[in-house]
Amino acid sequence: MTTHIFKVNGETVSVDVEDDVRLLWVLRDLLGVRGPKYGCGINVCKACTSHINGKAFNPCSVPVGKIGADDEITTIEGLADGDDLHPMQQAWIDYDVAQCGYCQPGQIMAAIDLVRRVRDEGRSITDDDLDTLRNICRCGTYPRIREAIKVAARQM
Amino acid sequence: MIAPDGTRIPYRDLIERAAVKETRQVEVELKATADLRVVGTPVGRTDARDIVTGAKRFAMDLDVPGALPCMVCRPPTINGTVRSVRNEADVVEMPGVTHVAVIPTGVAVRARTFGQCIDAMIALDVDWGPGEVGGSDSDDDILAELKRAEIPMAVPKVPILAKTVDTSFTFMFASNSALETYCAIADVRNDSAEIWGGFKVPVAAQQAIAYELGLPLNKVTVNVVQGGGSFGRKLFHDGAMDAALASQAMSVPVRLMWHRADDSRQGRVHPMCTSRVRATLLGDQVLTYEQRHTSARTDFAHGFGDVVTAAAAKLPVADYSVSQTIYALTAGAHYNFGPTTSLLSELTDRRFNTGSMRNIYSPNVAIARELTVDKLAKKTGKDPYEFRRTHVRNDRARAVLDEVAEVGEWGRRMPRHHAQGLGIHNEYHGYSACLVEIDCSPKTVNRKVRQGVNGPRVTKVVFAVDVGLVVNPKGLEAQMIGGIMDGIALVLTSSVHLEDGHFLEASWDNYAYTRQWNVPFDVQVVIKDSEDESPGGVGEFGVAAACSATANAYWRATGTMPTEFPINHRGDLHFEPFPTVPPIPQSPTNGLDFVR
Repeated sequence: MTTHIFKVNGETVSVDVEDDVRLLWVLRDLLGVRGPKYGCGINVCKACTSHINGKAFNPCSVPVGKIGADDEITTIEGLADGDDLHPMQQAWIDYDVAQCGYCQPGQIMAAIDLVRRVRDEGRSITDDDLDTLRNICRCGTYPRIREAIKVAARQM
Repeated sequence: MIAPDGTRIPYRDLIERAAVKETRQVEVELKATADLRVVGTPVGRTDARDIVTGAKRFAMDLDVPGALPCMVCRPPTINGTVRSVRNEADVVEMPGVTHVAVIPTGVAVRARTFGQCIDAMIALDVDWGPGEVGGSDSDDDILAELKRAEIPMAVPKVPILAKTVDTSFTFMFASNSALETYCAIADVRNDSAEIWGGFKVPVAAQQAIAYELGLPLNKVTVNVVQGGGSFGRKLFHDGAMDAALASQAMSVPVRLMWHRADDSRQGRVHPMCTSRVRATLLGDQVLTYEQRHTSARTDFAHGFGDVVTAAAAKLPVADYSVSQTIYALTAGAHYNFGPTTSLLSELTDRRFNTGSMRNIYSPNVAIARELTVDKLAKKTGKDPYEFRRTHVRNDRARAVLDEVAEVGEWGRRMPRHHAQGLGIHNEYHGYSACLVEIDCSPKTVNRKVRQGVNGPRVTKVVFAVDVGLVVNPKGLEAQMIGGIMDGIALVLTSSVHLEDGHFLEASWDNYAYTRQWNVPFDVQVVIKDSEDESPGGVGEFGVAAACSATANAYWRATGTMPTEFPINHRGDLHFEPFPTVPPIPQSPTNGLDFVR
């Protein structure tokens, strides 16, 4: 077992666990950070999508040993600034996107990253960009996800 | 209970007066519809903020003291058995692992993290026994059995000049897996048990678990937690049963979760089925219509509470099974086509783990019916919309059909390889119609999507619905949109392939449920004002009209009537199947390579 130190949602955490345990389980089972959800464990459903140093990644497929002391992990719990929601979260509420809600933390984290990447390219979001989102929603909320992202992108 | 002046009365203060020795009818006067202030107004989800901040708690997010992660290593074939575990002593020594125990569905492993459960499941060396599905059984074997079980058509006497129109359709096995896999927390003691999980029929779960644990019913507490989707899955309690038996075998609390691969391969499926129609025509008159639906067995062991049971008792089908009752309730006649019959024949064996899937028979029955209606329209030289309009049995059904035709501009000019399609469906005291526009152009069909199914794309959907009194229009719209996404998947992309006694699909990129690259750019749901003041059901209602409209649009765009669903089932697999031993894939380690 190794002691791993890194930042989660702005706080430094320390956890003793084997290097190869994937970060999703370190977050959920050992640190009690339960926003990122399990949906496949093989980086295809994207329900666990979170951010590392401001960029989207899937902790189900990253051993905790690969996370360094300088790395900052942001999960859905760390997105809002106190009571002030991120524009993407607010758009999700305004468009009543969610149904069961299980996939939505991952959807929101992936959507924010998509908007950032498109903006970095100096463009605005297109349908082709939205088609690249791989997050699964078995309730079928996809059309509202597309609407909410387009609106939030203008406010980010 | 909240009184008009805001006074709150807790339920416990009402129990004594509510508890009566005999059930008796009591008259209550309901508020007039015109006086309703909340019912009928659009309301957002009450848990929306919790969902978008990650605060919403599902079963696996609860903290129950001592309930460590637990998973079950399952057999390579459907419902196979454990003969022996060859390396239990080694596995229990692995990092984080606390317990290994054999339960009826496999080998349960409890560990400090789910990741370490996965490591242990992959390391387990188990001598497996077969299940009841033959080790070489594949899709075509089951289809051949269904073909043998098909009941003959029996056309009433028709004039000698009448023409017969026959259609026949096949629907492959499909998975009703939700995004949250089967899971539950169980704390089983010597004389009592407590369970936490997402249940739609907790009473059935409690009874079955108490029986299996050998405990009196009143010693088993079942706590219902909101589920991460159901789609028919959580009518059953397979995950909770595993959790209870694992906790009992290990004598410790467990937080048990199915791996996605098991949820896909060993979890319940919508049964493979065929649907055949024979209609007779004289000139442009439809004289008779008969539909014969043949299906692998659908499991209804969960019961349906009071609604269907009560309805069943009133139907003249006392000697039929529950399946027959459900079929009779949901496959009602939609058109004035002269003498109309619709009958179900089901295989009776229990080899497969089955269940309903955001509808039971309706989507398949409707696809067969609505494609046949388009064929009848074609045979009589009529426009599919006008033909439906003429023959539809009910003014409310005609009204929703007219609505989609108008809003969706039925008959507008479409580019080559593009087409519109129509479908209607009545069920749950409601009426629905759908107009779909599809793009089957080579450019769209051949789009490259990594590890995904592209194919034809539905570009626009107009869906009109009349479900009587609408409680929350926002909720209704969301349910219809979800049903449309399911309908698209059933027709174009998603099924499971049975090969050599097991299903090939082991995860989401394998099972091609609708993804963003399949989603229509324009989805409009129109809620019709209704003359009916009683509310109908909406949870599954969107699927049938949407999938039949998609099938008709596909036919009109390609010129070929689809007869097997989904249309891509026989094509090359879009994935390399994972092995069945070990039963689950290991989590990758390269997640950071994809950070962009």
